Amino acid sequence: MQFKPQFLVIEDNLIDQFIIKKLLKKGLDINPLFIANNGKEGIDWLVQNPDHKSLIILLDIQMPIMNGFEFLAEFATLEENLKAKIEIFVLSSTLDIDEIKKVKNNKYVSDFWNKPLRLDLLESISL
Amino acid sequence: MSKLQTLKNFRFPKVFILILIVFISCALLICINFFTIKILSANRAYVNGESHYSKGQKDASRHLITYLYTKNPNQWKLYLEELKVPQGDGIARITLLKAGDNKIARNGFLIGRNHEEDLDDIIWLFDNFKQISYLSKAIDEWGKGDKLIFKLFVIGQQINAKIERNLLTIEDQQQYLKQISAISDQLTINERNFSNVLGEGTRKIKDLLIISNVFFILIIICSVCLYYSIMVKRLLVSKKETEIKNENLIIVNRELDRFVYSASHDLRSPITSLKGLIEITALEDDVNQVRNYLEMMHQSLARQDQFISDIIDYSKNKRKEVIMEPVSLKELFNEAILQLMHIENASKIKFTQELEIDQIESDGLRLKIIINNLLSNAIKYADCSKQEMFITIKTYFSEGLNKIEVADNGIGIHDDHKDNIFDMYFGTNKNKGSGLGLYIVKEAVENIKGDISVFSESTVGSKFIVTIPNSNAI
Repeated sequence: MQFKPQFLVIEDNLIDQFIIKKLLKKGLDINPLFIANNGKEGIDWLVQNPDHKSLIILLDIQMPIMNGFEFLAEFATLEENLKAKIEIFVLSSTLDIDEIKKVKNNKYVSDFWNKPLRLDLLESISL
Repeated sequence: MSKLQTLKNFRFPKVFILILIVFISCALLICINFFTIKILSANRAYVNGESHYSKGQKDASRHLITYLYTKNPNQWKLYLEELKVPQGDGIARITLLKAGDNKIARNGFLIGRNHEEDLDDIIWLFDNFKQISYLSKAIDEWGKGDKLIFKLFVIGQQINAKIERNLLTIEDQQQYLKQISAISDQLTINERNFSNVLGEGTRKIKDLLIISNVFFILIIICSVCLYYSIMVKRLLVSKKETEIKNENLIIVNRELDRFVYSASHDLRSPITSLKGLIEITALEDDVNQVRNYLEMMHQSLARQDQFISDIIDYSKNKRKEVIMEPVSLKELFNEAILQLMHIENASKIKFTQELEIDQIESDGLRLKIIINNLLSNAIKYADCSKQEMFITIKTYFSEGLNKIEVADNGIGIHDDHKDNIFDMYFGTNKNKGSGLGLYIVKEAVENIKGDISVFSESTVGSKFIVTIPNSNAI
């Protein structure tokens, strides 16, 4: 049996949360997944759930309270054992080239994807 | 641009007057200096002429006395020659007094051994200033001198006649010598007086010249200083104006950058949501679920619609001029509530209105923006966990100003966020709004020169109080 990673979705838009949940369930049969409404909730979840096997984070950029960039900065300060086995994919509707470049240059970010989530991209990395 | 033009027109005469003062002062200074120098030069020529007059008279007396005792005809000739000098001046004086500038007078002065180039100044001064006290006094002395010169001439004629006829006795000689000495002494006094009067006049003119020079130079310096200070002040003012304009432009630019960035994101976000929804709809077989997705699509579009309407409010609020008009607060509130009833849970909320004030004079557009946004926030952030949800709207008159109050028992504002709620694009939950609402409210309140204050406690509720200034205060 194939090993399935856990998913943490950090996204403030309720509809987008729902879409990601549905797509992951229908496409990859992943259920349940964890949802954080903003960067701060994401960090809190990571700190409270340190013993995950393999985790994929889908991160939005524009969020209230703590946005994607602030989350990445906060993530960098976490202990190494917490960060291990985590892959971060930034999922945003932005078209700003500078912003996308900034995301891609972050050493913790594996890739940048435009919304909506494309299952083929997800399959290529997780399977 | 036109404002700048009127400002220029307004300032022009002030500076023009100063320049005119400087110009007139300079012209006067030049004229005064020119004439005083001319007068002083003429005075010098007179003093010079007087010395020739005196010398001629003295030499004539000497030659006459010598002739009286030696009877040498050579001395007679020399006497006549020297006497011509004061006589020439005398002729010039008499003709000048009678006829003004004329050839005989000029010739007389030349005989009086005056320099040809001084003649113009001498005659000019005589013609124009003979009535002036100092010169008329001098001319008077001169006239007295001329009479004595005539006496000397008569005595000379008598002596010459007696010598030619050999009638001269020793007594005659002594008597003539006495007479000549007396005339000579008297002439010396007249001549000295003449010089003194001229000298006194010259000194007076010199003093006047110094005073007038100082006076006009002070006027010029003061005017120039004033002109410069006005110019510098104006420069400083315009520099300040430019700085303020620059600062405003920088702020507007920064705002615009943020606006474009956020707007592009917020306008695009519902579209990507819609795309995602379409994707999962395609994968869905359950018709009930599809209905659910359609509802979400509707929500997503409604959000975009709201955002566009916020942008329009933002732009209207920024661009439209404030217009004072009669406004009914009651109508504004009722319209707003009617419009906002479609929001989730709105029908479960109890609205209470306590409107002590209805008709006021203010800007209708701004008040509408303020009331709509405050009410829509109160509905959106209602606390569904509470048994009874309410929103209280009050209007009242306090401390001389009209006030609007919107209070609710909603989720309230967390202390951490209170400082930021009026910031552009600030929001704690973007599912509820664009983050523009309170920013636009703040701008609208500033536009009508009002004030907004917030009292809120997390989980208890919020109260917004807007102060509307009297229409004539704007």
